[in-house]
Amino acid sequence: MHIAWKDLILAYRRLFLIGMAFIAPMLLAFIFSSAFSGSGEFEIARIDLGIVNLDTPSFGFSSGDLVVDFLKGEDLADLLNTASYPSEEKAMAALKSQEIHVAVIIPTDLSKSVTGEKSNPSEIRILHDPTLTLAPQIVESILDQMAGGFSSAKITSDLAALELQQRGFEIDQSLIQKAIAAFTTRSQENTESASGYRIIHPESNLADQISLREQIVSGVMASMMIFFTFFTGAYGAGTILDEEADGTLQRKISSPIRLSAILGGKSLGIVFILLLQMLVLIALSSLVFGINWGSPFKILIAVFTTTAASTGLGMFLISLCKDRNQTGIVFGGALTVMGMGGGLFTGGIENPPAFLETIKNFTPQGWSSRVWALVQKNASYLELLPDAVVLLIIALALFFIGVFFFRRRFTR
Amino acid sequence: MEQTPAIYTMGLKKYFRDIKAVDGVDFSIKRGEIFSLLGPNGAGKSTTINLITGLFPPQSGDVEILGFSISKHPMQAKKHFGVVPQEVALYNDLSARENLMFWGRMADLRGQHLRQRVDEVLELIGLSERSDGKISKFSGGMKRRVNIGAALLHNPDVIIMDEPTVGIDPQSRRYILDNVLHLNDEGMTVLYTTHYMEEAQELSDRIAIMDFGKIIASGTHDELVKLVGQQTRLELSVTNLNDALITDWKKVEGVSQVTSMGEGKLLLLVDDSNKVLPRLFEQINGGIHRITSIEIMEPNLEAVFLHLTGRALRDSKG
Repeated sequence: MHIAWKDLILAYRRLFLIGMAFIAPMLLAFIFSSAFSGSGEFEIARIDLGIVNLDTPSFGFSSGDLVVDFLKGEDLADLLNTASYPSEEKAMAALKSQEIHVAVIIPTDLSKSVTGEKSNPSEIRILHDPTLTLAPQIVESILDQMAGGFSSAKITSDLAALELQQRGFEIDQSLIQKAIAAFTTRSQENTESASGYRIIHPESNLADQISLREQIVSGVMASMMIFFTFFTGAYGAGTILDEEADGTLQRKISSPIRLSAILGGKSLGIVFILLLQMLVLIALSSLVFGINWGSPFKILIAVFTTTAASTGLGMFLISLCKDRNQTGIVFGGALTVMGMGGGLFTGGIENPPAFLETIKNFTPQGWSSRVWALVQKNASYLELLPDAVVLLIIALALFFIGVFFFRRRFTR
Repeated sequence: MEQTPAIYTMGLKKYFRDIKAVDGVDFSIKRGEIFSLLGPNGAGKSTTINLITGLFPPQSGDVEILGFSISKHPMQAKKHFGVVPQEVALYNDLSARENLMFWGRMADLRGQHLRQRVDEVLELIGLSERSDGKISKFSGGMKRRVNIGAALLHNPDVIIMDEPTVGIDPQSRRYILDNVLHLNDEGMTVLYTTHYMEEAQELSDRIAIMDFGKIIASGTHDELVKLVGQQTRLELSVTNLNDALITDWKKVEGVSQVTSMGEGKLLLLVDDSNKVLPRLFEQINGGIHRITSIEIMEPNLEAVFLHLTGRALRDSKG
């Protein structure tokens, strides 16, 4: 315990460790989240949207115009900065020159599909700058809800016509199509109508986006925290080699204290340092970024298993080093590569390739990242515990191998 | 009934691959004695100390500290000694007091007794006023003093000091040597290693001379010097010194050893300097060499080492 306490005091007297334990992860999370939000204050940046409306009206009704009006409407003015383009080519040119982030191409047959004049569904296409992920998702989400509104109108009108036919009324198909058009127009125009039907609720949509942003910031923060806690674990284990080089380890071995107690004390010191680091990072990130990390007990499970894994991997990697000069390879190389393999820098990739998920299985960072993702998703204990147990087993295996190597080294 | 020795080593051996770092070392140190291991760098002194303090196990042999085997009862044995390592082994980012508190806890001291001992040791090493200063801000001499202090906290029966005066200023060196004598006066047994024969000569009740992992002679200073017999030590400075001259002088009647000490200096062991010196002058008469200084000295430990190994203690490379 005295060794652990001394190590904790020494660690936090070193500016380098404070920088790597607290400042670096917070700073990187801030930079990443700013990149997603466009500013450091987490306001969603307005999306420059190009609209190409090629739609031909059906029964005097234009779904395309309805979409355009809605996208250009006041409700979405804080979110979208729209401009109309006469053709897809012009919109593509605007995308390439980065005048706009996203382009929506409304097809010629949208109204016909909505009214049922044409049986096949038509496709609204979204073109976007390939480096962007959030902006296209927001636009797609808005259009999905509009499409939902069109479908509702069509289903409702079809059902009404069917009911009338069953009661012996003769229905003119063109009247049904007109009814669909009218229903759609009415419902899109009157969002707070007596029907209670609202196609798009910009507020809830914005909330969705904020939630998505929080999800991204939370993910980035968790990744950075994992990356730097593993770094701290190796740094802590590296002090064994520092002490060996400085002669304080030998002095301890010559004291009336067992080697197992010395290594235990050193390991406990790493655990203390890591616990403090993670708890401070969680508290800080909650305050600064407003991250909701999830249920406290599940957080404790993740903190405990990640601490164990960081300590275990640190002890293992450092036990392979001949002297402290070689620890640079661990910090600069092994931990970075393992962090990458563990998906700590590729969390933003949508639908990552299968091999990335496979590589994750071979790194403690990958398992830790899974545990934290489950905690942040507020997964059930049944979902969380298997991954947490695997991480703990890996941690213990690495720890005992590391301790074995250290013991062998100091007793011959 | 004979008292149990403070330290007793039996056939200690430690090899590092083909290097025989310690090759069958036996000695016994009586309680209350200052015993020095004297030898050049690489003679095996530090390895012997590491075996005695249980830092690593020997290939064969054993060590007993006040009757406790370091291999069979390491915890009991370790409670009886304090170690002053060759290099300063302290935490630079902790203050002198914090370091002593930590090392006191390692020696199983706690609470009020620990605080009291830390104050006493700070007083003993003359750093009470600087106790809250970080070690990293201390001079080399001050660090050495804290290094010694850390070994004294639990009032051990035996203190083992591995070249504690290497690389420090004369004032700090004097301070340390005085402290060693003081501790011994208080009844502490001291095992001291050095390659400075002056220190061994001044401090020790008995001295063991080590070379190539073996003890080549041991005894009191006077007993060791007697090994040289009636021989006198000559230290000469010679211009254009070369191997040919050394070879020639080795053949001169009455000369038993000639060794170069670098920078044009030679150390000779001779039977009678009055007779030998004219012969040496005669040898170089008319040649390129010229004797620029002569010092005639009584035999000492340097002479003993030269007599036993054919090499000078000061510049030997073990």
